[in-house]
Amino acid sequence: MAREAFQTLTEPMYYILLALTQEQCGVDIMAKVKEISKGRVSVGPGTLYAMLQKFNENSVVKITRSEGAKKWYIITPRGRDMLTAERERLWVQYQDGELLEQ
Amino acid sequence: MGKIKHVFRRYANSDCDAMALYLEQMAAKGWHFRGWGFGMEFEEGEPSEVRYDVQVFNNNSESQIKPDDDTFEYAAYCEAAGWTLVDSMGKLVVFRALEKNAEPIVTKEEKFRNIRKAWFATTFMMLGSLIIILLYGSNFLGMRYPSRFFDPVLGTFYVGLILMYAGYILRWLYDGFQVLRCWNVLRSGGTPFYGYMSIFNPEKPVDSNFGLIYLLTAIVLYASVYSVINIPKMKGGIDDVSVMIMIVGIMSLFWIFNRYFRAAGKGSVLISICAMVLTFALLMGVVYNSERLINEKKRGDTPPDPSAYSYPHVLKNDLFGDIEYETISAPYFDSGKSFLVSGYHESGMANIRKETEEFNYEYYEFRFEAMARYLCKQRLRKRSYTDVSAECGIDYAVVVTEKSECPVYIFREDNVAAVYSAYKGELSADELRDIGSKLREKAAEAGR
Repeated sequence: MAREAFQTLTEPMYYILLALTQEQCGVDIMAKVKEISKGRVSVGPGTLYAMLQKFNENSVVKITRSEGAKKWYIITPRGRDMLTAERERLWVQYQDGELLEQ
Repeated sequence: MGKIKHVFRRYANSDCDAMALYLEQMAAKGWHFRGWGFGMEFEEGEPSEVRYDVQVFNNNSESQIKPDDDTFEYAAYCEAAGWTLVDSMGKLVVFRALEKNAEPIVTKEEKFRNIRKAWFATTFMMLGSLIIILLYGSNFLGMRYPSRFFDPVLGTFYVGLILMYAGYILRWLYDGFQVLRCWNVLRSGGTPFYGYMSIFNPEKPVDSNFGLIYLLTAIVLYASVYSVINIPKMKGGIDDVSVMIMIVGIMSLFWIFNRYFRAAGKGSVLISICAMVLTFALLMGVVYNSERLINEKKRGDTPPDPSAYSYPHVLKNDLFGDIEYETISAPYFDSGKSFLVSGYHESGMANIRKETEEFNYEYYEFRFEAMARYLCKQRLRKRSYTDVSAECGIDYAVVVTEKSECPVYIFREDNVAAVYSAYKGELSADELRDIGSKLREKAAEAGR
């Protein structure tokens, strides 16, 4: 069931996973997402918290270490596959969009 | 530290926006929310424009009274986005904005999903409550144990339980209604506001203190009905009062010590459990004690001396003939002999039964008429009957011959009732008149 839930990644999901290609403290992900998207995408803290929990439960990301209330996350190979698949999907979508220019 | 103001407001999960708005309005007046303790606590300070956000956080449990590790972890994320944790109670987590344009914590769709999830989670509790109410309630509806309902200890206990569980169901319905309403708003592209504004002042959000109002109304209603029934006769009055005081006392102790429990850290769970066990033990002690006292009166290994028992209706009973006291082996449930007495008198019902070869009767004296009426209806068991009230000269008198071995008479005058099985056949007009006049006497005596 959970696998189906991630068939297509939403924009916040895509950027959270992108941010986690390097080990990252959960709390810093919001700033990282803003940085990667050059300020275009912003993720609310509640959204991020719930998303990380869901990702972790489905081993899309894993916890590398924790200090008190802080936890560090990194993407798993499975998450990386999902990210690649989504990127390819978006690329195909972009290419198909070239019809617009003809 | 400024002055502290305690406000006794309660908010349901589905009223989180109303609560945030209320906190903002209080801050504008110079009262800053600092958390839950003895009610909601506000600290006096400079009036300022502060933004609050109240989130429904599903990792918290409904019974939680303070933030735990999960809440702090969640709060760390919010802190990074410009929201600082103030306090949490149950699933409600209160945040204050550190900067004016702090990012919203969740999207409106997620907020809706969180509230809906919290509501779903209470469904189990609601169903459990429903079952408990049906179990207890069916006893009262069927009046199988009418005496229990009017027993000072058990009655208060049962009614209290039923009220509590009915409260859960009401809350579930309230939350569910809000969820449905907000879903419609969300579907049409709007941003739902979780909560209601006062009908009198559209600027003022209302709290969900309906639970308390409901409980108070119910307690007052029950107490008034109870005192109407009990106080004129002053029977067991002291017991009722002491039980009431004990329950109210324990509840207020919980209320007062709530804040100390909160300060005590993890140990608070232990304290709460101890307090609950103590309360339960106290209640059970009261129930057991009263049961034991009654039972000691009822049962004995040696045949008791009837005059030692305070069953005035047994001793002076001459309603349908004389009773040989020597034949009583025990004043309670001795159906093998010719005499049976149920001693429900203290708790609202007198029940005396006598059986000989010629007849068998049960005599009831209730504290109020409705119970007597109910008994008559119940004993009729939907059988067809012949009215004989004119012959007896009392409120209600019928004879049933259908589905019984002998004619069964059911009599009632005010709050006194009797069921008489005539083994020797139908009663003559003289006998009926005699019984009628005796019942009238009894009713006059009982009404005094």
